Amino acid sequence: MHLTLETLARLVDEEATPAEAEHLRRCVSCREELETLRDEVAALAELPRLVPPPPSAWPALEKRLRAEGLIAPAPEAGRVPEAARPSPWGGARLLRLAAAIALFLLGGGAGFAAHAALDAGAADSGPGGAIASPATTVEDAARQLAEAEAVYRSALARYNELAGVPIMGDPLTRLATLETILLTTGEALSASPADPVINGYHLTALAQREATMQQLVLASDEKWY
Amino acid sequence: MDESELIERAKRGDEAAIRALYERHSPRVYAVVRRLAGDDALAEDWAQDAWVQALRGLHRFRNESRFSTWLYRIAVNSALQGRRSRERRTQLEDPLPVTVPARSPADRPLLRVRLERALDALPERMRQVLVLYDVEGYTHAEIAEALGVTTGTSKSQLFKARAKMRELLAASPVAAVLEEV
Repeated sequence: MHLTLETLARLVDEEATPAEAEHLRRCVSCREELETLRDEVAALAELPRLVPPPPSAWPALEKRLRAEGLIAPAPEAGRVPEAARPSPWGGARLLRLAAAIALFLLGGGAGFAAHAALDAGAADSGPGGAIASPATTVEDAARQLAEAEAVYRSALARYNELAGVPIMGDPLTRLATLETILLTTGEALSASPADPVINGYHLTALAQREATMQQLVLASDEKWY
Repeated sequence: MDESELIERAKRGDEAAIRALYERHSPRVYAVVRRLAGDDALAEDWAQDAWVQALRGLHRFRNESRFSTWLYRIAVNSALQGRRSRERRTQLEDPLPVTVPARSPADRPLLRVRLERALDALPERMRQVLVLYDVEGYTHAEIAEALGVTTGTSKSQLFKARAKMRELLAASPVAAVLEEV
């Protein structure tokens, strides 16, 4: 007679009675089930603490806050302090993340294009062409990168369309690759936590892993949660 | 602009400051409310309720605790209140069947997705206790107070919830999940 799942669930963080402990010593199956439960509970504690709300959430909230008088009538143009005005990029952290993603994509895109060019026997061009004028601020640089990213995405989509390449390769391979990258960058960051290049790649891999997981769920026509 | 200044401006109804606070804190609010709600539409409603309650009560916030902690508590309470009012209005639906499991390290990247799906499929009360205890780190005493139950009930619901989640995760082979992709 095995221990019930509820009993095992209790033993995840409570001490076993002598009889339960004796059973666990003898029963491999119950020990394995308990280990699985412990793994799952540990994984629950590691679920992300930040989940962005859907884009529709703010307009709906804003409407309600206005209706309830919690947002004051709009001030005259130019009176809102610059620092309080939300950046269209979602703040400095997102700015850096966007920049990192764009860099990553452009880097990956260059490699991808070079590979494609070699395959096709051509070697005269790559994505990411010339960017107008050098940026003088982080914001300008991030915008230029985002614009370049859009160009790259568009070119890649066109290439995929012409070459008959599926938009998404094997998602599990991609996830496994990203996990490996994250292990490497995570270890590197323990040794050099302030390195901007490693931080950029780590953040980008995190974002890409998130996106891939979302694509996995969307591809199965299921909600993300 | 630092957070205390944003809060002072938000108290006066400054839209830009409110939006800035929203941008900064909405992912944390939405994460906890979404898991407690178990579906997207409810989560959006309850997150909105949380923000409205927070802004209505902002004049009571005195910077004695962190704004994020104060707001988070309001979000949890809002979700729990939302659940109670919904319970009064409707019969709970049967949980949807869920496809999932995982053992081998190679399946690890999918574990999070499977856990989130299984959370959604748990009966509501079990989900509340499991999310508060195992995900959010509440104590049984805190859960008992928030839900108006005894600590014994909180524990018993937690063990039932973990057992149910194990069943859900083991209910179908990994292949079934992969075939969906």
